[in-house]
Amino acid sequence: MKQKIAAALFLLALLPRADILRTDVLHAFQDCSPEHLLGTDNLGRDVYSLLAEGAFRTLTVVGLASSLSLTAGTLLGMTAACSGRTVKSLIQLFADLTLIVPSFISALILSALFGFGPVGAGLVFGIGNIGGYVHQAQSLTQRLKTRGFLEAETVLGAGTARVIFAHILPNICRQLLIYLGNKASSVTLQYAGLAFIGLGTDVTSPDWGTLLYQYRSYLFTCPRLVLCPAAAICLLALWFHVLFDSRAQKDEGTIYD
Amino acid sequence: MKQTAAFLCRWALLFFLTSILVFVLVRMMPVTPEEQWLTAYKLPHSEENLAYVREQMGLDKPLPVQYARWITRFLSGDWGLSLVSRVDIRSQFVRKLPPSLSIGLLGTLLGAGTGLALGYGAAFRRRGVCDRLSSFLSVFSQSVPAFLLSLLIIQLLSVQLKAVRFFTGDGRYALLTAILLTALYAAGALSRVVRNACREEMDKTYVKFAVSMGFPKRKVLRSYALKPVLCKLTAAVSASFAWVFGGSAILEFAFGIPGISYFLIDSMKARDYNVLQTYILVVVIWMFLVHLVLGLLLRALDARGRT
Repeated sequence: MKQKIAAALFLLALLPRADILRTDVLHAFQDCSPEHLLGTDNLGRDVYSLLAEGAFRTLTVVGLASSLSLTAGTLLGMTAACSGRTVKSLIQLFADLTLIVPSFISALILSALFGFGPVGAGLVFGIGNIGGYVHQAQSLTQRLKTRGFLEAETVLGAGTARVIFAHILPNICRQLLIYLGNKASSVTLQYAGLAFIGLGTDVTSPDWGTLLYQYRSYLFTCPRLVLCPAAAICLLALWFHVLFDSRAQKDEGTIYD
Repeated sequence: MKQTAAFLCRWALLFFLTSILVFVLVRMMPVTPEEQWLTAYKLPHSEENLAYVREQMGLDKPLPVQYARWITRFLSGDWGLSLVSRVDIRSQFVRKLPPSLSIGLLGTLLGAGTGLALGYGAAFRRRGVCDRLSSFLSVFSQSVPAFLLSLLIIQLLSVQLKAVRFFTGDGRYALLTAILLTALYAAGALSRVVRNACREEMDKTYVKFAVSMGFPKRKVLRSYALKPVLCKLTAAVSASFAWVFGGSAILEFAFGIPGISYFLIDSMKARDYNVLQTYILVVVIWMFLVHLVLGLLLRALDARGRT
């Protein structure tokens, strides 16, 4: 099912797109037609092409942020759990430092100062989320370390690196991916929020948040314009949530059931 | 005692590291502060003007001296003037803090209370009404951005029904809606935390024992298993306070609430770096207070942490 959705989305992305910068005021507010799949907006731009471009930008942000914070956070967290006190407290200090100023605020400030696009936003969200991954990976590793098979590996003479990559990483991967799904949807929402506030972002670039801000007054006169980007944001966030969060989690009965 | 000292040391270190980061960040701005100042006063950017302003603002001194001057002034309560309005920043912040703090504090506390009640209900009956509701709320808060919901509320209540005025008057409806929205978004995730903590406790020996002895099931969970559940909830709340500032920035922007995050957004348009520096340090102090109070609460709840 998930693969089919992904394939369908991929096919949608291959559809020909109109020029998003060309305005055509004579054909504004047109309904859905074969020519304009989702109609046109107040300036006569093709809504479908705008959304597709926005999807590309949002995916860049989420991909960059997730891969950056997953790699750095997991490595640091596992290292912290397997090393001495000095290294551990240094890593924890770094994690706290990334968590102390909310990543949304840092992204807001940095985009206002330096005016960046998806790549910059992705980097800032990525760095801001490292702390959470460090805490997750560290506590998961800590819990795993009490298990016998890791001790057996150490006694057999396996080095720290081998223990970390061959034994700990595969075991904590699943939990971390669930966390990744949650974070990916939250990054989607935060990037949309950033574009909605629109500090230092290019107003002509069709981010979903920017589109929502531009179309907000047409909510009742032309609801399609607001519904399309809103649905895009919600569906993408929901999809990340479903993709990594397997529903088949064990929920064993207790004495209460 | 040792724990307290370590806690204070850690936060002092975090405070100074963050302040150094902000200081460096402001010095890396593409437009220098003296150019910014001249632009704000619509003066020509001539060499003499730039040199004069640089000397007036103390920007000609070496960086460590500048940093030391700034941070000692901040700590002694002199937060400087806004570059744009020339108003004392501290009085501005004191005036704008109450709305932001009430959104953050009341919203999160209300959310935690709702989450606790909903989570308990969800744990009692799997796939019951409460369980489904809390599951729905948690997915909802992860997939529908807050600003979208606020747009809908404003359009529906204010523009269509004309029932509530958000942008005129004393703004109490805007504040109330922002608090309720924060609570709604906090409640989803927190109710799941409570539910899972409850399910974990339900499987423990002491609960099984008490239930087998014939104590009412609800009473066992509500009184004996309360502390471990509250511990997990407190830890989750302290994590969620971090995004309260980010979330309240969007809500303050959407509803036009004159809080400090809206002040920041407004000042960033003019690149008022004095306000920016102060805002970041205020956020750090706020996070310190939150962690202090919640840490004390956690110690009171969990005897194992005491030494």
